[in-house]
Amino acid sequence: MTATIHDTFEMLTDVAAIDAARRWASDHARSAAVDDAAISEVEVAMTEALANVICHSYEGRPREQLQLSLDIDESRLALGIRDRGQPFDAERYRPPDLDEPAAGGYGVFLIEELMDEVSRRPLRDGGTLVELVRYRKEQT
Amino acid sequence: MDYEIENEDGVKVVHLSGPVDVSQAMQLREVLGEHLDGPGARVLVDLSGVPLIDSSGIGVMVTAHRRADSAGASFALAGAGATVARVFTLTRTDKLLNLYPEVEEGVEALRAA
Repeated sequence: MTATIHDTFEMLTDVAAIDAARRWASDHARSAAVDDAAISEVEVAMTEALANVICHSYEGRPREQLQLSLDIDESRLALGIRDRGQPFDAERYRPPDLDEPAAGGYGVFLIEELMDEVSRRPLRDGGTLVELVRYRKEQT
Repeated sequence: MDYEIENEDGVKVVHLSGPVDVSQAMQLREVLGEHLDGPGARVLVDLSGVPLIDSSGIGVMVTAHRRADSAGASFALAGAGATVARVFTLTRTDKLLNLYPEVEEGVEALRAA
């Protein structure tokens, strides 16, 4: 039987804080026996998602707070990121041209490639909830 | 991320350890830029101690590759683990960058360049 995990984590909108958030999530995932490849890919996706929020939604302001949530059960791992910065503008997003290697612009693309589900929902308090879901294929 | 630089027969091998992400990208860009300092420079990045690379890290490697090209220098990467290699593959930057499975192969290739 797989343990069910729910936990929350608060961090500052500072790229230097991403490493601690990654360790928090991966420690929980390891304790729930999520496979190593999936953990590594979740770490990449959450790094990209946090970097987007910190660098774009908050435009680099380092002293704001982000709330993270992590839910792991026998079927999936779900990471939530709640922020109160500028929402992601899907209208302005352009996927990278993979035929023309570039020095940037792969963040959202990598999140979507590495995760099974990605959602962005406005919250009643004016913030945004970004949720990244990875299914535990090894369990199916 | 920490780094250590060794000179192996004229090839500067930059051994990286730890995640290469947005928090370290600027520092790494500067380090690689310093060593890709002109025609004949040969720089190999050892990724065997890197568990994770994000799009900022990919950007640093693409920039270093182009900088080497325009300076007449040589730049390559070696030792990527499964997750790091997958990020290069997904972004198709593996088609641009010179990637070698092992550091020794990378050193040999740059020595012959």
